[in-house]
Amino acid sequence: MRGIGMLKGMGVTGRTMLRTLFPDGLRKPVPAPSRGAHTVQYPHVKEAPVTRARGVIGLHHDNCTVCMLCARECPDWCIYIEGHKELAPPRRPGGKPRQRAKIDRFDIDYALCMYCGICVEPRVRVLRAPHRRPAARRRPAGRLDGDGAALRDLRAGRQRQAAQASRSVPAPSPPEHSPVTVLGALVAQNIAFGVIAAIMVFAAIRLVTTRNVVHAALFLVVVLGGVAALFLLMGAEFVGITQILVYIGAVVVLFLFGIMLTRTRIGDEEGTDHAKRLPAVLAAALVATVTIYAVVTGFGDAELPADTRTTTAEVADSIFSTYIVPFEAVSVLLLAALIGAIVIARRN
Amino acid sequence: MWTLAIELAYWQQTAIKLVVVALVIPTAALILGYVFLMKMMSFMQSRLGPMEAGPYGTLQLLADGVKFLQKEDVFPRRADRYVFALAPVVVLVSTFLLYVVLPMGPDAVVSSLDAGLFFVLAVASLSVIGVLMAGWGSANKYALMGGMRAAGQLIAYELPLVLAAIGVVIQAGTLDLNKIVLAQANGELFGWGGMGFPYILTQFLGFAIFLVAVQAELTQPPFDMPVAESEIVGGYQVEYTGFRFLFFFMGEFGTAFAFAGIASVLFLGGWYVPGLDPASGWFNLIGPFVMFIKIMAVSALIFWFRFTFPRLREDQLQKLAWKVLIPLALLNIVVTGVLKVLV
Amino acid sequence: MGLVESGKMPAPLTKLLNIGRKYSLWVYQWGLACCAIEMGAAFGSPRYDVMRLGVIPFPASPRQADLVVVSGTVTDKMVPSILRLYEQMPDPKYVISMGSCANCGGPYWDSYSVTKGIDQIIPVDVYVPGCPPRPEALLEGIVLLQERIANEDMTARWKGDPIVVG
Ligand code: SF4
Ligand code: SF4
Ligand code: SF4
Repeated sequence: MRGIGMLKGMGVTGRTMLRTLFPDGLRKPVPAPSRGAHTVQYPHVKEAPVTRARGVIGLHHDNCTVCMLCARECPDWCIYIEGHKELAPPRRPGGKPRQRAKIDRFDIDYALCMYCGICVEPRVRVLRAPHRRPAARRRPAGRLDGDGAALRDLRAGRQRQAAQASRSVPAPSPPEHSPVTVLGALVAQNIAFGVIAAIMVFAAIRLVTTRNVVHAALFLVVVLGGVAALFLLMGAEFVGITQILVYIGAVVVLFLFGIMLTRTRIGDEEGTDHAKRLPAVLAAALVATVTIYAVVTGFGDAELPADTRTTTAEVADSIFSTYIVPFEAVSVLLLAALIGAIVIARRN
Repeated sequence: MWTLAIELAYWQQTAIKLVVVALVIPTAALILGYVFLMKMMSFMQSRLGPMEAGPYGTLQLLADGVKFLQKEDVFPRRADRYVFALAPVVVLVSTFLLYVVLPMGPDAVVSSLDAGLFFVLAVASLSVIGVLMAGWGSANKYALMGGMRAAGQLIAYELPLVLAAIGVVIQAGTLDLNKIVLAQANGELFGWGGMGFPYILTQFLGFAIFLVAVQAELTQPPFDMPVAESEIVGGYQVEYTGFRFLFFFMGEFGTAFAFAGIASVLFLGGWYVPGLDPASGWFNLIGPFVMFIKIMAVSALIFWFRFTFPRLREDQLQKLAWKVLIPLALLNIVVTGVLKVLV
Repeated sequence: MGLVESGKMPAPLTKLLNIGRKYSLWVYQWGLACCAIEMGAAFGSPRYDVMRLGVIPFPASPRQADLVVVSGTVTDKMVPSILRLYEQMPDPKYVISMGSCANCGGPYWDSYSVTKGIDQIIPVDVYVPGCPPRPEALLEGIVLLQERIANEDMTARWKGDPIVVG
């Protein structure tokens, strides 16, 4: 069963958490995650490297005979050795003075070094590995100069100009302050109404005039949000919230979905305009006239009651008593639409 | 606000409440982020999480905030500037509105709406707009895909969320969050009213569905396809820098806090603790603390789930919603309704 | 934001901002070769747990990153991508070059196709030598970087002057 497996999984994580938090077991629940966790807290606690860990190569200077074996074995060619011969005093009195090679310079370019330890192998007694300190440096230790320069020429061309050029990024542009409309409604209903209405009218005009389809949909959000705010202002909470849930949460989201799925361009579109402007204006004017006429004849000068708050319970009561027939009719209609949609979707 | 000696004018109260809510969101995000995202996740992986910034890393998220404010504010050249800039704000406003009806005590609520639960579910859907705006405005194909995924997911999981809550509504007989709390506080368990009747006892299925749906609404793992970094980089957040990204971050965790609050109101009895008379004014004082404890408990569940499971596939996500959660939630409603009428 | 840009800020504020950046290095992982394994060990394993230091390996996109760790062999083919990645990160941003290859070409210093060090293309703040460096070495690099950020001069930074690596 999948569910049981999932519970087991949660058990695993839960147990690990408890073990980390209470390393002494639940009998003695003292939180001590520093002990419970597997973490080595690096800058404070340093891990002891294992015996065969590879690390920085060191040199016993006195033992080196400048034989160059190490430099030749190194796969990276990153060891630089210079030396000279000098006469050492004879071992026994009266003996011949000995020639000995003395090392002047022994450098490993730690930028290149792989800590492979191959250089150690020719003369184990001479080079000691591992020097137990894996190290990070601000710069590779062996930025060589002098004789190493020939090799370094490979990298000589690198200067920081290019890098610096890319660092001088243009200064960030100032943040845009977005007008958040927090509706401090009910301070004075009329002022609030005026403000909301103004915003709605502006958004509605932009909705029609903008050439950007996504912007149009977003302006529609503003308009519908304004409607919801007006409903709230009138005390019709339920209707207002439904407005948000249905229109903004569902309808406009579907609009946006559709636009974004089908169009790929950002910005203004050609051809959002319409050639038949005059009929459009006439139709709009007609609708406006009819609406205004209906509202004016319907309400006239009648004042709204001061407290128009309708509770959700009242809405529910009226739906299921007074308006039960229209409600059922609408339900059946929606059901039919739903079945129709499924049938159409099923066909292919 | 509890009864103060001074009577405040309506607008003063409103202003105070708005400021409180505005402060609650970042605080909630900080607390949840630190306790769960930083520490709980680390402990579950047997490590320590932030330790250096402040004692036990407590100031880590503050440092993050300070850092995000300093970051360069990048607008992609082809971006739809206003849409791009406004999207995080829309998401944050949606979070803000969630807190408006969340009761912290009998009177400690910004606005006790008659249809409070309905309001919560409605404004939760507002964030879809913000996410779609972000996805579109970024002028980035990954952002667009992330936005689409997010919108599809949020719409799909809105339904189980609503349906799971309806069981509680049927049992309590009201949509008002405070009345739901009171109904639980005054309820009786086998005729014994000592501890009220938290609805989780009868609505356990609803509680589980609600939590899963919340997880998806928050686009958290295992439902984080909209921001899946291994599939679509960062989804709709891919182009956001600095404080705009911070807004998304705060929105996510602020919403998690709010939803955990709603869940504890619906199923765990909200600000009520057994032993006190639910009508007593004391609850205005201790209510916020009780709520806080319950919210942390619910969030712990949510985040425990989050840190345990890997991401689902997009089709598995939709299947889970439509084939499992919604039928189960409908069944729950039917059973609850029948029992309500019979008992 | 304006204040930060102009760099004219009282010292305590600069200090605060520095501390904020110091402890919040959201890191973008740019693993290219073998070194990435060690980077994974440093960033992902409970043993080293880089999150302790405030280095958060969350961001999926360079837009949210403050630090990029380039680890592994950088080939000439890869250079444009790295440059682009770097430019996509919002300022202030930091770079750690991890491993011999990223530092200077490493074992491939004479290869025709390998870029001899990413500091040819982007400014590097910390080099971590090694092939590969142990995870601890990377942590040391991060600690060094944090020390430097703590003392950073915002004025110099926002004027666009290059940072001299200490
Ligand atoms: S270090 Fe050893 S191998 Fe290298 S030159 Fe000296 S003696 Fe020869
Ligand atoms: S450890 Fe390997 S790479 Fe380093 S100097 Fe020795 S041989 Fe060369
Ligand atoms: S430095 Fe060494 S370990 Fe790292 S990528 Fe190069 S070859 Fe691999």
